[in-house]
Amino acid sequence: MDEAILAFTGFLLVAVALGYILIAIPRSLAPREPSDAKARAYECGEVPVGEPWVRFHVGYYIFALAFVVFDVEAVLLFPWAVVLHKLGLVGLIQMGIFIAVLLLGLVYAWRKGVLEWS
Amino acid sequence: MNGLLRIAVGVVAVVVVVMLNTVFVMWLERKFLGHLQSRRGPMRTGYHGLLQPFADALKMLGKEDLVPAAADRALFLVAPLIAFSPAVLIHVAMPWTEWFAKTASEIGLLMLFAVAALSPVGVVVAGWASHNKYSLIGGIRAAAQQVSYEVPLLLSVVGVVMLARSMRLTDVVGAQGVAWNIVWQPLGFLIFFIGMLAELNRVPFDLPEAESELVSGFNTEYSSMRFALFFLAEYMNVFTWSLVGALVFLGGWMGPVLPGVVWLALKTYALVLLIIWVRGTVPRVRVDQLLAVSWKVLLPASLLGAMITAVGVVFGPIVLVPLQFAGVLTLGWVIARLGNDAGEAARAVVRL
Amino acid sequence: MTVAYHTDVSPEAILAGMPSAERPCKIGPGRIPCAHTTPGELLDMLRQLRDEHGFTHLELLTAEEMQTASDDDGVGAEPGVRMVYGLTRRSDRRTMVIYVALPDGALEVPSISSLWRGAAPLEREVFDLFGVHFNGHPALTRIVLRDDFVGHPLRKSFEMPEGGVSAETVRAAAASHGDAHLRADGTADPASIPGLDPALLPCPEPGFETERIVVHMGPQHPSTHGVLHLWLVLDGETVVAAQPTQGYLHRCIEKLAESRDYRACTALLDRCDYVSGFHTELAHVLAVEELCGIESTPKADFLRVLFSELVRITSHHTWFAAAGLDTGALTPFLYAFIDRELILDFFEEVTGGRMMFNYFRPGGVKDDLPPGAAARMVEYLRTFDRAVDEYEALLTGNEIFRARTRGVAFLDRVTIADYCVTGPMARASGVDIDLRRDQPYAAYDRLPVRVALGEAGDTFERYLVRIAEMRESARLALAALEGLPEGPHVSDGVPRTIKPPKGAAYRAVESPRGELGVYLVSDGSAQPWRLKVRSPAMSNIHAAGPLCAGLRLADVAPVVGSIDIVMGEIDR
Repeated sequence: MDEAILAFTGFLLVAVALGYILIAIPRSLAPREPSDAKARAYECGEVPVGEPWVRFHVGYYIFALAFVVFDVEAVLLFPWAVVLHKLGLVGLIQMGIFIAVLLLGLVYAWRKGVLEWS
Repeated sequence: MNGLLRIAVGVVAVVVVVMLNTVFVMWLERKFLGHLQSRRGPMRTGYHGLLQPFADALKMLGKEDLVPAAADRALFLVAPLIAFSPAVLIHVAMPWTEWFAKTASEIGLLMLFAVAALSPVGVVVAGWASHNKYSLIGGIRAAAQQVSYEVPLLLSVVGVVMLARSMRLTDVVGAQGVAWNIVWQPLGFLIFFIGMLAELNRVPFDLPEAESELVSGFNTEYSSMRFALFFLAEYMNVFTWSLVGALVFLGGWMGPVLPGVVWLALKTYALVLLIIWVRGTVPRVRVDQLLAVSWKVLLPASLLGAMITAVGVVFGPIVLVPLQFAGVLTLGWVIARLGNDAGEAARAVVRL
Repeated sequence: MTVAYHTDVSPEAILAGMPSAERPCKIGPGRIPCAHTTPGELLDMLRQLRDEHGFTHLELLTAEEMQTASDDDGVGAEPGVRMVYGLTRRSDRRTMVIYVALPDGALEVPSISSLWRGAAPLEREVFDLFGVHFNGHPALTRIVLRDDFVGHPLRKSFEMPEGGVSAETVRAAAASHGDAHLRADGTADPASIPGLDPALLPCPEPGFETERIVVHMGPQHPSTHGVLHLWLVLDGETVVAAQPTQGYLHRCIEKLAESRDYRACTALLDRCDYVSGFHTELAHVLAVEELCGIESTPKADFLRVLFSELVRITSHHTWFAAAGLDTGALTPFLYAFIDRELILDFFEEVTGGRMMFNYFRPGGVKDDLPPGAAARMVEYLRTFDRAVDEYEALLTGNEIFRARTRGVAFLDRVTIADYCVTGPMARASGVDIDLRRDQPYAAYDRLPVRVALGEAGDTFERYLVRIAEMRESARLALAALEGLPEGPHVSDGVPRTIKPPKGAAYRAVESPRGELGVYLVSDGSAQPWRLKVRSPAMSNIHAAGPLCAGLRLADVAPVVGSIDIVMGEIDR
């Protein structure tokens, strides 16, 4: 197997195991005295009114859509950045156009008022 | 078999080193923050409170692990692991030893960001699963935060990749022989540092756990070691990202006279101290302000920074440095204006 | 709301010319003009006084038990309660009091919350403690006592339940949990939150609309400044409505005062506004002095100014610390508290207490300054400006702090009048009121105050006003020390047990939060018949509702912080 994948797997195992062990230790050390009051959601010491799991107003969901676009773009830039010194001016212009189009999109969204938390 | 053993020992050794550093960062924060605020910080546990993090851990171990009755039990239990594991896993991409440097994939830098992006998922899950309104808002803020800083943070290192012509962290460090990247990429560093604070949920971007409105935010309902895992993950990430900053922008282990590991430690802890210093200085931004700054200022600035670097790579570094510094000044000016333009109608005229 | 009116007509003349004002009189030693009216005519009369004669400030709304044996002010002998409405005209700071006598069995009076929205919580307090019903009140429920409390404790006929409140009764009450918003099965009913418009609450079956959630902010919350409780209706991060509730720190101070003699009341009142105890003490002492005709000495006057101003600084220190914490900055807290400790050291040296002073007395102050204290205070106050410079370096110019506070939560003059807002909060909106200048007490006539006046009325302006006040207070304290006259610190001949003649007095001082008044009624005995503290923070905090509506959740803490509340003073 590829050593890189082995290393990754090793780290993943150790990471999860470490977290699990840390959580498991208090099971034998810590007291366990459950009560209704402890099991209730903490809302400043008062009895909560209503459900938290509702159709919650997420003020930024359009940002999230724009985020997907720009995140993909950012990832695209990395391979280009690695080889830019070989591509030279042509590569620069090509990517310049690509970024300009994206920026245009950003400006459009901005002017449309999408970049406001509603 | 030999290879497997080697990996196992290597991984465990790295995790131990990282944990020790995390503990040290915790102590350092309490100490340095204390001194910033004219107090001493912990003094009683060990020499100048050096054992304080261990005392805290012992206390945490003795606490009851509570699960709210109404919570989504499975998600609630697993959320701390989702937040904590990536903090450890991220070190797979670090050039800890030569062997790790070799195995670390060619996309090392990108890998860092990819793994780091998993942590906030744990925060969001924790916020949702707790069945608590404060936690819910905290979790949703965490998602908002990730949506806002991730892109500028990624773009801030594109210039570095151009200069190094590789995404391998060893190559990135190796390319800084003439001068550190902070000289070539000051704009990139500034955006990286701001994005890093947001990535770490540190002041002024500690929105998911903003205690002045959300009690404790996403971790309100957590106790015992599950709470501690969030806490550990935060400080582990502080260390990790300072290390990344030192590698990518401060020349890594390169430096005269002293051995490389000392240089790396010095640079990493300089960044750690800078993060703590920021915490001791500034208030917290509002979530809509974070989104606005990220999308309207940092994103265009990071794209601009990347293009400036590209021009520099193609036409030679003469144009790069002045343009980058001009970018830094502009960014600073814009950010300074944001505070002063808010509420233009509000003219502060206090007369006695 | 403002109509042209003649300020040259004295309150006495106005009352004399009003057909609905019966039996014009004066309360106290002839200082405050007053008149009686009937419940039926009350609303029109107050509206007329407000709109035609400029009495726009509802300074006092309370009640007192009728003194049945009393006849000197013409009060009927029928047992019952009388309502007390104190109105103030801003232009010349003249005050008048309107009484409405309510015999037992007819404890009903129209609510005046349609004239002043700020009257609603005050009326709830009277309902809670006296059992008076206010017709037309938007939400008449108990405000400081538990909803399942039986009886109205400020009535003289009130008797504690057999055996007092034992641990068992408390536990039983907790088990039944009599909160009005709880249904019988223990789940909460958002529709019965007093003061919240049910239309704002989450609708049970919304379409594709996002749903609103109701959140408790407080009482056990890191940034509600004690045990304030706010109901927040949120749509996402946006605050649709905010409604403060109170009562978590009610300690029956006004009831206890009725069984203490006048001197002992000072100690109780320290615990009222525990962040600036000298001011509550001073209002009480001034009222007692007025009732008895006692004069304090010039030296005591200066010492009273000195400590009033020093405690104002420490109170503003507390506010400044919270202003940082509320926006997420940790360091201002420590900076402010270091300096606060230094001033508390002076308090301890002079009065023996750092928080509860019991220092002001009728006729003067308890002790003279110990040797050397004045010099040390002068030395400290001379450097005080530099300390404020440091605070300002932390927050005033900080971009994030400015972005968080500028243009946030504007308070306009209409709302100020509506909610009877006073103090730095009103001054930050350009309302030029300050009792130290407008109605000088103690030595403020000899130590002129430069009033810090803002304009914009947003959170940042309130911050700037208080910062300016800190500097001004230090200057005043210094002036008081430097001008400290020789002579005794307390008048001779003040009896050990004070028995003021029958009558009433109202004196107000400018506390760090606004106009803090003590309304004192004497029946001629050694204990007050009624002692009412006009709490400025209570009026101010109820303006939080309109201030917070439409803001982000994150703004609530800084805005509430900029109101600068002390729950001890609000709940008493």
